[in-house]
Amino acid sequence: MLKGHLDTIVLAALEAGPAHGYAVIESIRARSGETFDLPEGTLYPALHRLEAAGLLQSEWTVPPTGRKRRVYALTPAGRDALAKRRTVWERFAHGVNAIVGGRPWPA
Amino acid sequence: MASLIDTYLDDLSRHLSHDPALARRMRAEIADHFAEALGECPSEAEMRRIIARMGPARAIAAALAADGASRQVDRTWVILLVALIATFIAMRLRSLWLPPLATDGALAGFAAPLIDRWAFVAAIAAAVAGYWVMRPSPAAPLLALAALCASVAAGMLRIALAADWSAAPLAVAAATVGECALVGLLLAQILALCRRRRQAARLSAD
Repeated sequence: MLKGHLDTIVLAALEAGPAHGYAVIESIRARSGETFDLPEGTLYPALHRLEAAGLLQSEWTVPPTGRKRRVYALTPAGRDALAKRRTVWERFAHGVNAIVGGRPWPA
Repeated sequence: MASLIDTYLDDLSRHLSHDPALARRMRAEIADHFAEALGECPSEAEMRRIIARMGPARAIAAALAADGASRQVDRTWVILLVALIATFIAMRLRSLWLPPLATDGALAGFAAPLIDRWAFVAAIAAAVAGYWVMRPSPAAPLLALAALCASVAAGMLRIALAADWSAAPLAVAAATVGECALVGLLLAQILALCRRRRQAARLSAD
């Protein structure tokens, strides 16, 4: 189930600012309360796919630690896509909550 | 100890050897990931744990190859659309600018305009049907390409019969050259699609 929403989760994880792959995984893990413990190898193809779609941009940087790393950031198209996906997700989550959680619709 | 990580990275590079730039990039990114996760002087157990968390190198390569094939499908259909438009424009220019062909007994003169038109219609039909029925497959673009080749060849024959190449109006000659170039580009895209699908299938296989 997570796989179908991975791209949205990655976009959301980068909303706060640019980050490298490991930081994105840590952010997803921390923000989900460790509910989403992704197989880390799924992240890099997702980052590459989102960049190819124009939703992310990336560049190599050399931080003070001296190790070259690739840092990803949302593009304006990525921010728009995230806003749209968030709206869709909120409707979906309300619907599922109403059915599974027994709450009335619309909540 | 570092050899466990190096072996993993070598494995990843080998699976991505069809795309050296992507292989270099992924290797560098995942090497950085491992370095960040492991810190200095990791134990073998730590390396094994972090490699297990990353998952098989082949799975990463397979996901990247599948995405690459998917993007190539999009590119192929865009080029097919552009080639269809260019062929239509070239065909219309031939109809508008070239004098009617003599049909007194010359089979080629009679057949060329018909083939030009109906092969184009066949290309449209193959493209429309293929887009809805089997979009990821190269079969429909291949069928459309074959029909476009027939249309382009008939169009060139039509020009040759109406006038020699030097006498053809510039717009007609330019449009015909353009449609030939786009048909060649379409062929290159279809070949790339076949190659990428084979790579994705090979990496996804058990």
